[in-house]
Amino acid sequence: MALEALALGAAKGAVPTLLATLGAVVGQRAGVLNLGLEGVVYLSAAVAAALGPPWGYIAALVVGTAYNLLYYYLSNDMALNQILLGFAFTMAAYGIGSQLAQPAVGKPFEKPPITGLEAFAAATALAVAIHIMLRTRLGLAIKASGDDPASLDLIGVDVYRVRKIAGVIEGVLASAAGAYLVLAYYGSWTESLVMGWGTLAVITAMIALWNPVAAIGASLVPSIFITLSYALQSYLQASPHLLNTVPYLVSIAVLVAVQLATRKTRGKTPAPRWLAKPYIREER
Amino acid sequence: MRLVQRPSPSPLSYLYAAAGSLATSIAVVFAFTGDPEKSLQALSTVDPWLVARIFVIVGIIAAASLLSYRSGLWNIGQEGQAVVGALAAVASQNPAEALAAATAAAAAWALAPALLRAFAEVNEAVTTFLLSLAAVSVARYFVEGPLRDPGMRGFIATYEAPALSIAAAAAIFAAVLAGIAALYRTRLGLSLRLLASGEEVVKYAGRSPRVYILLALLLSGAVSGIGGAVEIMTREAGRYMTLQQVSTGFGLYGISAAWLGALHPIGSAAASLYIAWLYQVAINLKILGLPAQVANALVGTAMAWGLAGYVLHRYRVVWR
Repeated sequence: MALEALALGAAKGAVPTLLATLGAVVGQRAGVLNLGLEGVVYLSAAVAAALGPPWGYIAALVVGTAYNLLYYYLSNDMALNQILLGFAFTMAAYGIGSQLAQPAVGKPFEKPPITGLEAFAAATALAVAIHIMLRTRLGLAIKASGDDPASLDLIGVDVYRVRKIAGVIEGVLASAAGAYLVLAYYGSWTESLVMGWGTLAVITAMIALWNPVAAIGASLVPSIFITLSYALQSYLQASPHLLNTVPYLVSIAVLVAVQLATRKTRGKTPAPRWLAKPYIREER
Repeated sequence: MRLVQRPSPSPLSYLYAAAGSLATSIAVVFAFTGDPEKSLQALSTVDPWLVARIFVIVGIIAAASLLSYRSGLWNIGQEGQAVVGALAAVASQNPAEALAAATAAAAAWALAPALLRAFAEVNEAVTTFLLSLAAVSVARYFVEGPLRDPGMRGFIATYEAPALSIAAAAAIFAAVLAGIAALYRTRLGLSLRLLASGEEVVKYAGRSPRVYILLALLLSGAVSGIGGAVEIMTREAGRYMTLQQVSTGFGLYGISAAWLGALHPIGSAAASLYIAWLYQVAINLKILGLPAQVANALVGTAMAWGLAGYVLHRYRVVWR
């Protein structure tokens, strides 16, 4: 019984991670290591919290996607450092988001009547859809922009446009994760509630070795431990603050294990070769 | 619009970046107050002691940042390392002990990402950022548990950190800058900077890149820890940590100053003064009854301008 509740909780918590992870997979496959994903999830969650259930979903998607697209424009077309610009976007989103959602603190929302399994099944279907998308012409272009943008450019494809398309897909998925977190998972908003989910997604995308289907399993890693640490709080005497760090530490540990395990086959792993490197057309 | 390489790098680019950031900040202040007189008041009211204190703290964390970025390593966990440094200071009896403990504790906090980067090739940006979120939780545990001051009765707070004068803090800042300037003139410092050109370059110079990766990240973490300790020790009152007041946001400020200052020790010190002024502006806005969170957005755009300065150093933008 307890185990069943745990599985349901883990499935429900894995949905936002899976959505954001799929976004991160698409973005990183395109060669962009977007640490601003955390900010996109946070800002869209704040917008969703500020507007409430019906319009919150739509507004969160629009604002989150636009914010992500701005990041993609500055970090690719303008070649600003991807990692540090992402950090700046995250910190700015923390500031703007907590201000926007200030009136929503302490006001619970009516959660939609969906179970964890239904939501997880839907997100899984989306993962398969992304997997198929990566095999189409567009998907090939996205993968090429992460592996060898110069060659992609030489055959006449606009690398920056491909990356911006990837950025829109990533933005939609990450904002959906943010809206889901506030309106369906927690059903309430506090300033620090949705912190960390976006960064965890960046890590789970690496754990999944940039494969959307593997992301289904990888997204369960932090979720199981988040649910477990909630469940354990009532049994264990451990400080809730220390239990909060467990999902982060476990995710890092799993990432290290995956990195070490695939080390022997480095040549074959699908790590995008241009990940986090700016592509400047002049230097082709 | 596209980027075209300049025939020779333009040192003016960082001035353009600073001007751009200044213009953005003034525009944001005008947009929020909607009144020239109030804006002028928000922009011109300055408390010299506050600005001096923030300048020193931001400057030390900017120095920590450039130690990492000049080696091509992306440490973005200065915030967490500073929190750990502040915790170590709280646990100490006198300023000297506090600084030593903060240096050691923050270096230890940076050790895990450094080892993972050097030996398992795990991206250090992701791990340092996650660890800085974890540092906040760990600090809350210490506030409630081992470091809680029972003398404060119902109020949950840590013991008081030893006091440090701003003059002493400024001396520490000067020592850190001089240390970095001296370090980058030695063979060791040269190898650290070579790392930015790629690990292979260090390897072909006959040295082990792993050693320098570890060293750069540990130095960066240690100096961030000093920044955190100085922050908590130079407060006029309330030199303790509470559950709500763990994170101070100076990580972002320091990183912004480092980039606006062209990743150069003197440049980043100058940029720290500008960032300290931005902090004062945000406080003035708060007194006028406007959202305090504007500070993060202002400093975030300052950082984006700094990154733009780095690009404009070598490229020019062509509208076409």
